Amino acid sequence: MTDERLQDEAVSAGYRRVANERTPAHLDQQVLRMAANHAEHADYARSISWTRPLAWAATVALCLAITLQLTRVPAPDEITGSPQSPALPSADQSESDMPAAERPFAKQFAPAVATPAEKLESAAGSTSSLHEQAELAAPAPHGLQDEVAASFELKSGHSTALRQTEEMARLQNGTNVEQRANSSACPEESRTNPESWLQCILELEETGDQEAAALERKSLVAVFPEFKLP
Amino acid sequence: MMAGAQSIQPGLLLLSREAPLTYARVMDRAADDSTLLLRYRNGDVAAFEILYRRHNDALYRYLLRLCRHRDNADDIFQDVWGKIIKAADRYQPTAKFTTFLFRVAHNCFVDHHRRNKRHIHGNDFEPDQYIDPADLPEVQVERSLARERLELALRDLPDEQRDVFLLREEAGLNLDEIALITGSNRETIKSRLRYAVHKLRMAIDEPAAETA
Repeated sequence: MTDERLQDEAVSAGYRRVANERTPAHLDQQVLRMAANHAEHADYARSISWTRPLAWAATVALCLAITLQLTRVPAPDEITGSPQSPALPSADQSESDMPAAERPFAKQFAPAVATPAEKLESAAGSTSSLHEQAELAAPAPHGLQDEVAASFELKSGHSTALRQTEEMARLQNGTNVEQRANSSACPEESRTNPESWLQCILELEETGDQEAAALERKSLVAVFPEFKLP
Repeated sequence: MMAGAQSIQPGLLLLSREAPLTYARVMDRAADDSTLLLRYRNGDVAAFEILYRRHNDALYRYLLRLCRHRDNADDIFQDVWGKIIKAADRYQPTAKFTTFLFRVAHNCFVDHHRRNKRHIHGNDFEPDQYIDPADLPEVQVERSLARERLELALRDLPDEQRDVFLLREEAGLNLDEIALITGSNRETIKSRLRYAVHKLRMAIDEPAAETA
């Protein structure tokens, strides 16, 4: 039996006479409104479709940037400078090759070269903290100075810091002596020649200021070493 | 005048009914339906309206006679078109749009029938009465009775046979397409359609026997 024979014309015609319903108008309106809303939403989705790949690209770029930044941060042992690191012996050798009096000045006037001691300073906080320790060590007794230096050495684990502390303390000692000399009771015009300076010292001894007189004597010897004190 | 009116009656009936012409257009313009849906996917709402106007009445009649409840038919009708609208974004014109549309409708009806199996009782819709003003009163009465008999016979058909018959009549699908939609094989569809047509033919030809 073919399709054509299955199709009974009388039945089809009868059915068509029966089936003449039309879709209600409210259903038409609802479906067409639904289609319009969907098309509007689809238009909006199409208009912002470029934001999705952009967001992905931005996310990937940000992740790469953060990863690269994290890989560039030096390790903690690089900051503190271990004694086994290859840069450290060269710095020590260059420092030991210098004359002892020039070491601190060489360090002071060559800040561009990042020695392990400088790295240590930056790791400890700032360079001012080292100077403060040196100032504290200068007027203190030798035992306290050693203690500070020892604690600093323990903290850093490096002997360069100890040497630097000693040099700074020595410099600070000399500065203090000069300051005391500058702040003496003898006027500046009396210091121009040893005779007037000695006269001033004798006057101080007569007034009973023995300590100031002793300091002035030391200064006189330091300035005029060829002058024979009585 | 009477003879003339009777002679042109079948022609008038056929021409006054849009459905047969619509079926023919659907068959001829299957590719156009796909094109319209693709145009709608690109934002052309007018294309969708053309597509909708082509198929809305046939789909509505199919659902109305399948459900036998106007409210259920309305719900499923909206559901079907909602799915078609959503599916337009990923629609690929691999088959006739009519096949696609009625497959969605068939599946929606099956889902709805499963969900509301306990709540469906009897029939709550009366078919719209089409009366040709050119008919004589006797002819109108006779045709009205014939329509009633056919409607009753259609209502009494098993769901599967009614589904196949409606897909054939309303969507104009062939056996293979109906088999694709219902998920049955071709021979089963052929058998169901034969039984359905036979029962409807009996209802039309032997009104006296049925009423007796």
